[in-house]
Amino acid sequence: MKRKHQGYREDLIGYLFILPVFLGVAFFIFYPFGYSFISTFKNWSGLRSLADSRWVNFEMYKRVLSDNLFWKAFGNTLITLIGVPIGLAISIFLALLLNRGLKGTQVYRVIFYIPVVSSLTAIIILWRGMLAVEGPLNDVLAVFRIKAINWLGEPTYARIGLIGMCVWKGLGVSILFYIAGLQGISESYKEAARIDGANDWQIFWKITLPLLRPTTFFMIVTGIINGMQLYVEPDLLLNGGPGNATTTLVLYLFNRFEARRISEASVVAWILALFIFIVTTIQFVYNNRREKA
Amino acid sequence: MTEKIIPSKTRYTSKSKNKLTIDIVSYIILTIVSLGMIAPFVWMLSTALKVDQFHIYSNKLFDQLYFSNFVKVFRTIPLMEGLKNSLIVAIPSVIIGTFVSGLAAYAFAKIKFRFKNALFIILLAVTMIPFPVIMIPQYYIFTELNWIDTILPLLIPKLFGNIMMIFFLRQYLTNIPDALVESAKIDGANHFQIFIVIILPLLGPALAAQMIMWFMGIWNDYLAPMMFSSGTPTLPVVIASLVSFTDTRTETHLNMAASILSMLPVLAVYAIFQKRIIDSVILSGMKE
Repeated sequence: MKRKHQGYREDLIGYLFILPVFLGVAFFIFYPFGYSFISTFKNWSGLRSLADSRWVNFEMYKRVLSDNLFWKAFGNTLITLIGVPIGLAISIFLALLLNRGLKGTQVYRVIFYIPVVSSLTAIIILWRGMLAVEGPLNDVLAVFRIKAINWLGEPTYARIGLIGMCVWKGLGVSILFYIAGLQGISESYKEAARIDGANDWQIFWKITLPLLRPTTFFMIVTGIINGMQLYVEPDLLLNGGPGNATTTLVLYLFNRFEARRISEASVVAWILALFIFIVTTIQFVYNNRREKA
Repeated sequence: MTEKIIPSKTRYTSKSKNKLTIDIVSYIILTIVSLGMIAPFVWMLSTALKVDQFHIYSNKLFDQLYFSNFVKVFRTIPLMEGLKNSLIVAIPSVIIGTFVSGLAAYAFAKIKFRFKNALFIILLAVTMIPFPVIMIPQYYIFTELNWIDTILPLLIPKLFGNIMMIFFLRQYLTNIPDALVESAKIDGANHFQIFIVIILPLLGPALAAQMIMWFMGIWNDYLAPMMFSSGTPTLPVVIASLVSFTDTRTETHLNMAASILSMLPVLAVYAIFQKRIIDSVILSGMKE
């Protein structure tokens, strides 16, 4: 009897300790989550309550999916994802250099992480200046006899500038994750390969890179999840332009929201969520398989 | 370590020249990349010290230095209001939110209760919900609460804890032996006392790193403050309002000065805690 009583009390205290978190989740996440889902099947302008709005079944999905701008925004968002492998390749290279046991490499790590901790809005103001036609980036290019580029005015260059800024800002994180990954690789693998006559180049491709696969996979997945939600950077750097070249999915969503086509905005959010859900599930399955293997 | 020294010594005598070359090349590459990371900030500072917007692209990086620009921006841009609002949001959020997260993490790690795993998986699932899905209904919920254009939408939800922090702290606590909690219980302490007296001090360094990173995240956040609270702007909202796509008379030098000032608090925090922050990121990378 006594044990049972105490177990009951333990239960109660456990629930009490997690209660605030679940209250917050219920009210600020689950409630709007359900709200959002229902709104995709109604024609809601936000002016009256959702309950008073008309049910329209899949009408809003049809509207979004038949809008050319939506597909353009989807394509634009996928294009910005090119930054993920580029950033990872640079990060692996730099992490290898930082992991060679050289003296003073801590200083470099600290420097590479500065853009990560810097305020995004301030960084965007900085890059708007950097990418200006008469700005310093073109001055640097002029040294290599490259003519001034209209970074913020031409679609292709605007995309390159946007991706460049994102890679530059995020490099510090992926470098640290690769350093963590490299420190988890036992020296003995490399020693064994060396004894077998493998050179550094072969060791990198046959041993280091495959052993870093979990890190790479994790970084690709988080890169896709964050990249699909890219909004502040293209909005403040380029206002989605020039000619919608950098209108991303979330920017498109905001345009719908501001036009009071709330249901359409919610549909975009749910398509985004579905995409992210699929990517996360793939990661989950992969991790499970890895743990079993 | 000792076993490594013997073979490498014999090898490096023949290979030492090769190794030295690679070392030097490594330093050169790392230094060039570091310059690429820092140079934009140097240019930003030089721009912030220019006399007016017509001289920002002059050839000289540092010519005449108008430090008065940093004073001037306080008159032209509501920096102080942004600073005040950012502090009002960030400090209570981090302190109370961390305490609440710690309690939950302790419960998940050390208290036995029914449906614990199921509840934990629910939290895990919550992190998969992208913000764009919930932000629009949140906007209307906050509208009904009359919270729009106040700091409440930024502050109140964070007081209920931070799920990522719960994951991290729970992971940390599972490595602490249960015997510690059990013996305190035998001595007559209840769970709340154990949490305050034993667990919180034990969590110390891990908690500090998490708090610092959360603080920086809140400080730099722009999306939610812009959407819910532009009437009482935090610093990033004040800075973002300087961006204009139509006004050609933008005072770039003052914008740069304001942006630098907005970054200083977080850069100061980073300068003080850089080792702890970097170690903590590497540690979280090892778990992935």
